[in-house]
Amino acid sequence: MLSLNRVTKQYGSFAALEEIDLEFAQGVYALLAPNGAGKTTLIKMLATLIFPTKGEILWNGDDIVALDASYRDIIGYLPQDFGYYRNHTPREFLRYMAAVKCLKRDQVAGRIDELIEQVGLSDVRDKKMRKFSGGMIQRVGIAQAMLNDPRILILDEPTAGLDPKERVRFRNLISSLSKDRIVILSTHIVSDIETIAGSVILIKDRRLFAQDSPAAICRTLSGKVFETDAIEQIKTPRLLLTERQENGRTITRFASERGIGDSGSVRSVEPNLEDVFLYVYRDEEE
Amino acid sequence: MRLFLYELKKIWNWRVLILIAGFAVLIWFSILKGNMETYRTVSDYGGNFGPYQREMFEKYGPTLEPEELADYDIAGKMAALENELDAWIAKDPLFVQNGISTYAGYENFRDQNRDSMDEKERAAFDEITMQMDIKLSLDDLWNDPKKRFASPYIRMTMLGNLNATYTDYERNIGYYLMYEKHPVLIEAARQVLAKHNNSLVPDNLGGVVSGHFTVVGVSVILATLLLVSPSLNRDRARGIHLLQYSSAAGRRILWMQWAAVWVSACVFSLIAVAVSAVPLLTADISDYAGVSMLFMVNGSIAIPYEITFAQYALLLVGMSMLLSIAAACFAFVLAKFSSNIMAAVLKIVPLGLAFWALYLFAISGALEYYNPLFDRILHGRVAMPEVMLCGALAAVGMLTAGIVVKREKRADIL
Amino acid sequence: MIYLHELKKLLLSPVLLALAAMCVIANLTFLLVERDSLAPYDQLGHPSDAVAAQAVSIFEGYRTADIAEGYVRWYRLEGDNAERVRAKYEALQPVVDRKAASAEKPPVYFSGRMTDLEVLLFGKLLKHVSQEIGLLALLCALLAAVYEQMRGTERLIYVSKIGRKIQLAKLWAALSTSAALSLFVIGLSLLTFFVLFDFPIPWRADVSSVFDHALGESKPFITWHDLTVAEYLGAALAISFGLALCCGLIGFAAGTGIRSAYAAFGACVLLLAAFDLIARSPLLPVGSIFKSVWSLNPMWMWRNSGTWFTDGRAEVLWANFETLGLFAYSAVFAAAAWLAYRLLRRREIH
Repeated sequence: MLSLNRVTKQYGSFAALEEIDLEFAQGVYALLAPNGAGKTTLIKMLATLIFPTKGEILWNGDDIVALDASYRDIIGYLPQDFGYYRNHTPREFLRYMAAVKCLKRDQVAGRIDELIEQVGLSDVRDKKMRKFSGGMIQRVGIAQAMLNDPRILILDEPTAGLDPKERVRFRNLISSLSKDRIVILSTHIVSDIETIAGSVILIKDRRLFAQDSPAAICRTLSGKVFETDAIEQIKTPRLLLTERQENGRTITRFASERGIGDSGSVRSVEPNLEDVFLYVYRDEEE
Repeated sequence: MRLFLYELKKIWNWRVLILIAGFAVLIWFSILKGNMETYRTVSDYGGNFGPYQREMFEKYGPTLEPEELADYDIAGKMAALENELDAWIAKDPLFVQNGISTYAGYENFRDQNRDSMDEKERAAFDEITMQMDIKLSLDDLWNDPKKRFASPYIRMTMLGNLNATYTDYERNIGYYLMYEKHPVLIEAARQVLAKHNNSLVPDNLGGVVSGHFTVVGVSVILATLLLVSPSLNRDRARGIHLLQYSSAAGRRILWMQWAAVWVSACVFSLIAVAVSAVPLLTADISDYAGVSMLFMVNGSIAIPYEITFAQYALLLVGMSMLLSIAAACFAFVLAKFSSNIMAAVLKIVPLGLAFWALYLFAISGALEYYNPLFDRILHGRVAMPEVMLCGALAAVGMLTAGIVVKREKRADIL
Repeated sequence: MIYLHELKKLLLSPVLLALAAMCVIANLTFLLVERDSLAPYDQLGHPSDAVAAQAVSIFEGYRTADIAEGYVRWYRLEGDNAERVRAKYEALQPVVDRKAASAEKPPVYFSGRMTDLEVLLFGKLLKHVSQEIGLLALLCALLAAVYEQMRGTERLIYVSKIGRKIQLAKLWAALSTSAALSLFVIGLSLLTFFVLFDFPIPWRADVSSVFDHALGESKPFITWHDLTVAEYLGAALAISFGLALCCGLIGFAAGTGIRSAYAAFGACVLLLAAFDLIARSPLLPVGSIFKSVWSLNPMWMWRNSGTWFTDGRAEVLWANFETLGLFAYSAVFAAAAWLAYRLLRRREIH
């Protein structure tokens, strides 16, 4: 069990995160927040790259900073925009990463081949990475994170910059990797987590705003999300969510605290995570 | 223009400038200040001519004509000093014990025939004359020209040197033309003969200025590299070049960057050399601007070209600038082929050392007869090869950088 | 295992290899130029003939106090500064007496080419080589220390099991690579020297007897300990390696302790320049303790490589200054490297 107890991170007088309490057991956890909300700060604290100013992060009751190498031995980390050796092949790079993860030499070759297969890079395993696409590099990244078969897999914006096909592929991969381990995924792309996350963590105003399953999170807006093709006729206070074109009409999706109910052109719809995201972080949009 | 100014702004980083200023202060206190003090002390109290040549310069201007030499009355001055010395010798026990009461007596004693002495007597004689010499030069083992100058004997020697330089030059040039093999030096000797060796340039002026510019020149080249290097690589290392190349400015930005690099090298070296010249100007050195550097002293011609001191100084400044531009251009090329700042540093460090070595080899003692390029490589066949080398290096640097920039126009950016 | 990976990265670095090759080429060029300027050997007396004909026991009756007085006058020393210089040369007198009394190693003064050998091999080539391997070690350690930061891989690595301890593996790899490159540069440079110059070197003779006088000075070449020429060469190389180690530690400390690679490089340049320039500065009077301590720094040691194992002129006040300086500055730089490593362990990586 990985737990955060009243964790605060400050940079001088600026607080990036305040008094965060969280617990992670097995499953996929999605950190959902807009850019600059503190996701990466939290991820970096979990990866021991930066340290809490106050509070503690515990793995099975022990402080992760004190655990030092024995903690890092059980984590896999994929940073946002990570660097790599451009003149290495994926296999060479993974061999090096296996060395820094202190894996036994006799286990490494088989494990690397297995992971390269798993992330779909078998055809280019011996090609230099300098000409790899962003998606291919990201797959090398996930392979290196999985090298030590980590108990905790930490992924910071893993799908940023990927095309839709790569993103779907990545989601499936994460889903398959999430058995018997904690996967902590930071993203601001809600579609990434809707299908795979067991738990969604929302951070707002530097504090923990909500932690629940996607369905439960969506239920917080139940009965408050509507669609209409005549938004100008809605006089009650509302928050515009999205717009789309349908049969030549503009369908507007909006949220309103006051029950409007199905009437005329307005119909109530099931809220999704994107609605919740836009609703929760509406202040930050303004 | 705006783009060019932005590129200039990137190069002129105040942190690097502070670092360079720190170096400059260290170099001033550790090397240049001492050199300037030595120059002043030597000009006033030491060297071949002490303050006498300066006195002539102030009285007669940049050249010395025969009637002016006569007017200065070196013989009269030497006679007065000999009287002073006679009085001093007559009171000194070492001289008195050896039966010497005048300077002429000392000269006779010193020049007596040693062949008639056995080994022991000769050793004793050598010891005594050495002691006398030390006494006459007021203990010249002390590294103190000011103290030595108090000795009339030293002042007499200086006046003797001055007289020999302006009266015996024909004999010296005769020897020179007989033994010298370097064509440029032979031609210089002929010119000295034709103008009667009439320059009143101080014999230590060229050495001081050349030494000053050697230190300044090397420092300026290294500082230029330090200044321009970080900006050369930053855009590439951070992937900003992709944005630049795809903008309206496109790959023209590289021309701007190159221009900013060599303009910065030019401006920086000019400022640095100008600042470093302030101590030279505050000394009396600038007074000699119009004096010819072509002069024979102690039987040799230090600078074998008919140029004034101002031209000589400008040539040194020009060479420093040309080498700075060359170094900056080569740094630009090396940085272009480096993916990060450390890779660029690893290439630019040897470049800096190579320029350092080149400067010491080719530019130290610039325009002087012993300059290694002039003397050992070209055997005195080519006039001012140092200037040509600096010009050629700057041209090659500019050309190489230009080619690299031009090729970038069609290069695939991965 | 990680050590081998780090070693491979550095040993296969094209820039470092090119730099080492350039050092060898520079030394080769230097030796070729020097060879052209030397008088032909057959115009000089053969050492063994000279020994027989002109052996002079230079140490007999030699007074080291005269050296001290020479310096006191030259630098115009007074008071404690003068007394300290005198005290050092007083301590050197028993060494001279011992050398004078030694019948086993008769002096071989004025033996043909020995001055050329001393000036060329020990005064110039070893000085160049020593500086080159120092520079190689500095850049190698700097490169090793900032390698991951430059490539953006440090976050991946610091989160791995080895974490920031990887810097230690990098330090060992950098030192090993520096040692290998140093051996390459020294080996090829010495090989070139011995191929180009046919000096009949009396390897087993006492170095104080072989060299006519201290480099650039008129005093004898007085070593504190009795060293044969072979031992002297070995000891000089050992000091050169030691100085390279010092430089490696400086590079590592700067690269590990300072976030920006260029700033780390700038710090190294500034430190080395300060070592040299302050040592030259008249602000530190000769004979003072501070001047003496400062003169033990690597830059000054390189500048005065020809005086290693001898009295070391008036700037340093202690016997065996090269060994003392090497250990003292190695300890300081090792402490700096350790401190930088400790800082890195606590540093937040953004």
